[in-house]
Amino acid sequence: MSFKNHVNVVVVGSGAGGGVVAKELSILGYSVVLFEKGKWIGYNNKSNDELSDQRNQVLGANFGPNINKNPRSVIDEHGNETIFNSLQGYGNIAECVGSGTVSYGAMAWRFMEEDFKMKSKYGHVEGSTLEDWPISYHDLEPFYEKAEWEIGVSGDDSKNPFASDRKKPYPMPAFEINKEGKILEKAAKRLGWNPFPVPMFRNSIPYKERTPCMRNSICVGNACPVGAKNGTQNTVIPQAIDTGNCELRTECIVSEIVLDDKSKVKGVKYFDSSKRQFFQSSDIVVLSASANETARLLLNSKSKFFPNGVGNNNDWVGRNLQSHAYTGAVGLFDYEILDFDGPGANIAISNFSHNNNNVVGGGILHNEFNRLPYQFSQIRPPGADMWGAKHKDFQKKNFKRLSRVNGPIQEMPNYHSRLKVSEKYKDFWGIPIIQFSGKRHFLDHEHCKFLSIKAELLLKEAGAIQTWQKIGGKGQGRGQHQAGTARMGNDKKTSVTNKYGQIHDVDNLFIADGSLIPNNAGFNPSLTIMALGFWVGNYIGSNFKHLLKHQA
Amino acid sequence: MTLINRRNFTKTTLLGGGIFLFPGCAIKSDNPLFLFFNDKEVKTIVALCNQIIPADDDFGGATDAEVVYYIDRQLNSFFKYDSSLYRQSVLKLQSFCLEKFNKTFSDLDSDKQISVMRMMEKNKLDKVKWKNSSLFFNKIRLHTMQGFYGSPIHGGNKNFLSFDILNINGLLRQRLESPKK
Ligand SMILES: Cc1cc2nc3c(=O)[nH]c(=O)nc-3n(C[C@H](O)[C@H](O)[C@H](O)COP(=O)(O)OP(=O)(O)OC[C@H]3O[C@@H](n4cnc5c(N)ncnc54)[C@H](O)[C@@H]3O)c2cc1C
Repeated sequence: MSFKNHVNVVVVGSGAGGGVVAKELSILGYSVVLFEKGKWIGYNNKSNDELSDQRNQVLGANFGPNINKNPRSVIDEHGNETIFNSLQGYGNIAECVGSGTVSYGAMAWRFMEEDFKMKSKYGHVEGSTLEDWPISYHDLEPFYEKAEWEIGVSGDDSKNPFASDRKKPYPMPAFEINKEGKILEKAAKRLGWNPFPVPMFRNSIPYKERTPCMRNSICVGNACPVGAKNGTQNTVIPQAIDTGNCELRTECIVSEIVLDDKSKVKGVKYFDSSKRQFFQSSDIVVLSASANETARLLLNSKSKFFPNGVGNNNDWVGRNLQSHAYTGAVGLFDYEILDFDGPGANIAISNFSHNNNNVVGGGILHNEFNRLPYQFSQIRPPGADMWGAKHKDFQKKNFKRLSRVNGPIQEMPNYHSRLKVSEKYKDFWGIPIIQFSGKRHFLDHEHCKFLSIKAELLLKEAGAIQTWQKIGGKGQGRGQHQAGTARMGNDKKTSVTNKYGQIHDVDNLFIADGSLIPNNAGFNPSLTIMALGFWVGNYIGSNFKHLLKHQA
Repeated sequence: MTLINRRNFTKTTLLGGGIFLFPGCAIKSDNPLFLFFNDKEVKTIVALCNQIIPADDDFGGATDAEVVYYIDRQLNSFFKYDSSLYRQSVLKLQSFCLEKFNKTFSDLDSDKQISVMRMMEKNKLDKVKWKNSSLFFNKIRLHTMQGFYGSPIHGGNKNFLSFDILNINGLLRQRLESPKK
């Protein structure tokens, strides 16, 4: 059997989830084709350009995608469908080998036990589709551990009394706390809170033959110049390729999942870099294209059994789209509180993740990554001049005197925050594009207010001479932490996959990315997505062994 | 800060306001030509940018950092969708100033320019003929900040002027200076 004509597994997307699955299966001997729309993008000439880094995306995004080839639309308040002309609001992670894990801030959070049983803990939330996960923290715990050790995480949660149990410590010690972090740490303790170092997908010491971090201070949004930041592109993906069982096909965009008349997947259709269309036959397909693109792919793939898109017979694909509303406060000090010692964000507080009065869930708080000059120019106390001599003066005086404490709030998933595929617009390859509609649950903004008050309290206690809140939670959550569009669940009627990421009624189609997450907790999601990659990969690996025998 | 001071400053910087005051004849051979703006537009845009980030006693402002080149480049590429907004807004601003002061915007004295801009910012300039002046104002405000504080590879922040103003040094400075075209 030719490797090219037919393989055991097709994985679509080489980001946080896909990279892990490809490696888990190829080391077991499954033949894998890993499709990636983007290319290899490392630390190149354009790194450190604030205007095109993956965080600001003012002049495009260094790590993709190209918005002209990949348009998206949104239904505005008047019900009109409009195309995004910039990446602001576009709902982007990245498009390259490793995706967001190349340019991410690299905070490596585990979700908490409570996050997996939100409904049991807090009850039904009016207007929300908040659910328990079909798996518990303890089911996922061994896979969190695998993710931490295989990808590489530094941290120490012994000082965090709210951390859920772990069997093994982090593989690397935590980073030394920087100047700002130390000041906030002391203040938090005075308030009776429990500060601890932010866990990071970064080498605090040499790890797996890669160098330690050079304490570069502008690594969020950029690749690491020395490879000390750990993503799938410099860990599991090279490992998968080294097995000889995994072929990575870059600049190849999967346009459709092909099913037979019943509900068995036969393979995928894709375009190569010259826009030629091919069919790749496989025994199994795993979708890891990110919450937005995986849902789009399902909706764009129709069959006799699934006239409204694969897995969508109960109309749940593309719904419950969540991300994270960021919220917090800013404090101005009368001395230079920043020493720009990387990685920036390094002290956290989990006191407000759960068990708060009148709040469903909550969020982590941490000091923010460093703000570069342009971003800083947009941070001012309420009522301050946003241009002119005074604005410049503030910029000059306070660039190193400002501390920002914030965090991601746990969003309440809702049925109406969703994506569909556009009936009107197509992308460069002629594939119907994503159309966003709906917005966050109203409680998200209320919960943000709660967390912002805490952040401001901390900055005041730390001695800030002026503080103000930045309260998030309006609009639609669809950005870098996108999740929830093909949620896993035990009930076929209210979910898209079972607890192993297997699409209901399709035995050989799986998902392993952010779309599985029923609710996105109050933490950045990458470590959880990688753990889900190991979880799904483990299930496939142990349940399709007959494919291996057949090949031998 | 007095007006005299600022003028002196501009005169003594190596770039000189001259480039912008007479864009047609004073562009040095190593300066790229404008890709989007015409000469009249350049004068208006330079004047607006210069109020958004003025020079002060110690450091130059948007003119010195050649922010107008940043905006010009982007309107021809990444911000193409904003190009007609720019073109129309400059015309509206011009006709407002000619009608009201019998002068072009760039010929107004500094205080007048600032008060016109404050009205643009608040959408109060000319409620009949220019209902949404704040839309344009906010664009050029942000674009000026980007050109001034962003990397010089995009046309502004000449000689890393803003990094000097913010006193950025060490590893951070190295990183911020590293992007290449
Ligand atoms: C600037 C930034 C900072 C961040 N900071 C953090 C952080 O500190 N901590 C954290 O936990 N998370 C962080 N994130 C978020 C994190 O990167 C994402 O949550 C994570 O990458 C999502 O994983 P995924 O597997 O769902 O999708 P992705 O990792 O986005 O992978 C999807 C991949 O699929 C490819 N693809 C899509 N469609 C197709 C197709 N049709 N055919 C072929 N390939 C396709 C895409 O190109 C992409 O490479 C950050 C993200 C960014 C951009």
